[in-house]
Amino acid sequence: MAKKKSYRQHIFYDWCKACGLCVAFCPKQVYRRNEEGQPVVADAAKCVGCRFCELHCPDFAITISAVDAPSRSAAAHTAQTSIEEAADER
Amino acid sequence: MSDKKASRENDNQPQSGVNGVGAPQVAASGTAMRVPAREPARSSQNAVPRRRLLQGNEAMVEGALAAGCRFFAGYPITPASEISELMSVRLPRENGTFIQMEDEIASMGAVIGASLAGVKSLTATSGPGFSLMQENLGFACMAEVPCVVVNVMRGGPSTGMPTSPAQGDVMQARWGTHGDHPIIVLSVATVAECFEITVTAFNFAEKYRVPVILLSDEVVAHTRENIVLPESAQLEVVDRIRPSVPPQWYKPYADNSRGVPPMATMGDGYRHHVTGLVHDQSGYPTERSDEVKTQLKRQMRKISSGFGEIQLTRSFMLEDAQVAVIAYGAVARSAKRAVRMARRQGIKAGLLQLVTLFPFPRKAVDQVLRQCKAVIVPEMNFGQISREVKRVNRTCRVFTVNRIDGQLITPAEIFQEISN
Amino acid sequence: MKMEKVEQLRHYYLRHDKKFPHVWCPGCGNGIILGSLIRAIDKIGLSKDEVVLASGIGCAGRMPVYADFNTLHTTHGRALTFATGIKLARPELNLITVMGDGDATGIGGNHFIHAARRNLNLTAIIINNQIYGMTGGQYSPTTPYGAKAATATGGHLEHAFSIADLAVTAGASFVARGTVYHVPHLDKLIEQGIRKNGFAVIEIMAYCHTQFGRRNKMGDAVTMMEKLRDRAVAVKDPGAAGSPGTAVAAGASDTPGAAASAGALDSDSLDTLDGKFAIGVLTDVEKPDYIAEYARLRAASRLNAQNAGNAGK
Repeated sequence: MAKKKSYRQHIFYDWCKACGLCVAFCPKQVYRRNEEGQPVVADAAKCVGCRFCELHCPDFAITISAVDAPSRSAAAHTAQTSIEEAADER
Repeated sequence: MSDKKASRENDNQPQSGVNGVGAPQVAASGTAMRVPAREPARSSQNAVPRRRLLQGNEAMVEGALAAGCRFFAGYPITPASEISELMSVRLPRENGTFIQMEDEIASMGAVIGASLAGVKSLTATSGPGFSLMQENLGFACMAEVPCVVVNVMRGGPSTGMPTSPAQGDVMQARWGTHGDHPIIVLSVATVAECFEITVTAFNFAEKYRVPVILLSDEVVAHTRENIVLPESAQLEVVDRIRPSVPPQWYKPYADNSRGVPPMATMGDGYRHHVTGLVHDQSGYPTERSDEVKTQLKRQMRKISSGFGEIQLTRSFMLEDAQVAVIAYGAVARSAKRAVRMARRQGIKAGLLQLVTLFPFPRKAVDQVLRQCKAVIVPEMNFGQISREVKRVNRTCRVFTVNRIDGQLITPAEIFQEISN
Repeated sequence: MKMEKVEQLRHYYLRHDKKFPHVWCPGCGNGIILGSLIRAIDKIGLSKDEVVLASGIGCAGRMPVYADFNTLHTTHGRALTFATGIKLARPELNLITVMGDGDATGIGGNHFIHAARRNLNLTAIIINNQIYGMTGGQYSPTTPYGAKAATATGGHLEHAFSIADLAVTAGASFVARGTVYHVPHLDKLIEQGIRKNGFAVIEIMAYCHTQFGRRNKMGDAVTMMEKLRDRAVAVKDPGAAGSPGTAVAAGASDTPGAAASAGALDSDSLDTLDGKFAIGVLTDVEKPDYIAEYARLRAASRLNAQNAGNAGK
């Protein structure tokens, strides 16, 4: 049985408008809503990488990245924050 | 399908031989596709100026083609349909495109689209169609899209008198679309002017990035006269200034000394946003009052800074005139005759023909008002340009001759007024 | 470190000098459609220079400004006329128009049916949220009978028509309907529409919870998205293996009544708040290419001119 793939959910809170679509429609209930209604990753392991949230986020605020090797996920995380900072200067 | 190559047509059709300023090629590097300056005069087979018997509407088509117009979108309406009909024949031959749209609103939209795609565009209509075009005309003013709109005026209002001349759309030509907007309104009185002023209209539209309204009327439109088509090389044809900065620096609506930003063409690498919303230098919608003020004031300034060139008038026997007639369009023809009749009676009469109606040629009119004891403004409406003349007038007495029954004002009527 | 494909798309296609997040309400489907459009264009591989994205007035009208194409925000209902002018003047450009239901079939209805009849190579994306959203929720040509709207507080007296049926009977050579729930399917439809050489209409069932849902007991995006999920019925794709679609008989569009089973399914159900409607490609027929025909006209008329000229010698 192939090793189960795991995924990281990157939520770009500057653009997220807390519409709730991702939380409501995630087939695996990976997200829950924080007090402002924004999605927070409740259980990343349950994510099957269907990218429903990514495709349905009206504000381009979710990026799903497949996690192959542990080292890569760390790099992915730093890249994501740098992108967020770049976008912040906008 | 490869883009239309603008090849110089040397076909010996007498009336064409027009400089082959065809649809622009797609220039890979986004450099200017058309040399703004006219090429040096080239010898062409038909060097002899061509004498033609043309109808006013037909002369407008030839003028438009000579000016480099290669797109026409229109909708049938008396008395302007001949322009569409001839364009549908001539444009394919000149590498251009003709289309009859579903209504005048669509025609105006298509004209703006074609102009944004880099092709000089024309539409022609009459009163009812002109009313329908107003909203999109306003878009062309706001987005500063060069185009020419011919309005062959007919009896109004509403369906009015489709086959009778009138001049009732003058104020609409200036203020028809909502909001304060820059616009240029020209008028023609003879078939020769139909050719020549159409070229001027395109040049103004391209130079000032503004729609130009060309007012004709049923008489001028349908009159046939013998005119000499000037050699295309002698014609001054102006093309819009293209951006010279690299695409990433291009600001589509940035101010400059003339207030007219260079205009990129859709598809040539200068991707930008065009909108009817008030916009900033990048063309993006804005509501910041400083940006709004800058933008709208620039759009007005670009016209006022060009008054000297834009405000065209023609004078006849005005040097020593004590009574002057101020007229435009077909009425100017009757006025000229009336002035001759008066001169034969020893009356020092003269004619100031307004070619540009808006921006109103204040200086020329003011001079006539100061020089003469009385000024007569004959119009085929209840008095529209006469209101402008009165606005400018200080001391002179202004009389109006208004005819609204669908008949052209006769020289006798004007002469009658002169002699009183 | 390789950015995710979706991030690359965002950086490449969204304008960097435009303020994000965009102007639409939280949960509005327009953002989803913009994403879908970008993916379709990227898949086809069009260069950004050759795409012209035009829109009318309304919420849908604010889409082009966010995308790095040649973008045009025209007057209300007139996007197709501007697009017609651009396409005829520069046929090598790829014209895509984005309109709302009111924009395209309300004030723009005359231009819509004639653009379909003319079948010029344009792609018309019509976002059908069954209301005039931007101006505050007034009823539109697709607002269902009995629904509440700002101008129908007592329940809408008029009946909605089906945009897709209208497009088919007006002569559009490609008509499809998708929803903002079925996004991968929507990507495919938009891609097919753009590739189509002819007038391609893609009606996208969307929603406006802010102005329409709120007045009809569907006050949030999630509820309205669920409704789309439940109402949509996939129709067999006529494109697949050339078999005539069950939706609409391929070929000439005869009397509207005989449009097709799915068509009939549509027209009455779209007039209700929760009736089923068909999604998928409803018609995909071949028609002469307007641009090619006009090019032939140019060549022929130049030839006639030359012959007439020679004859004159």
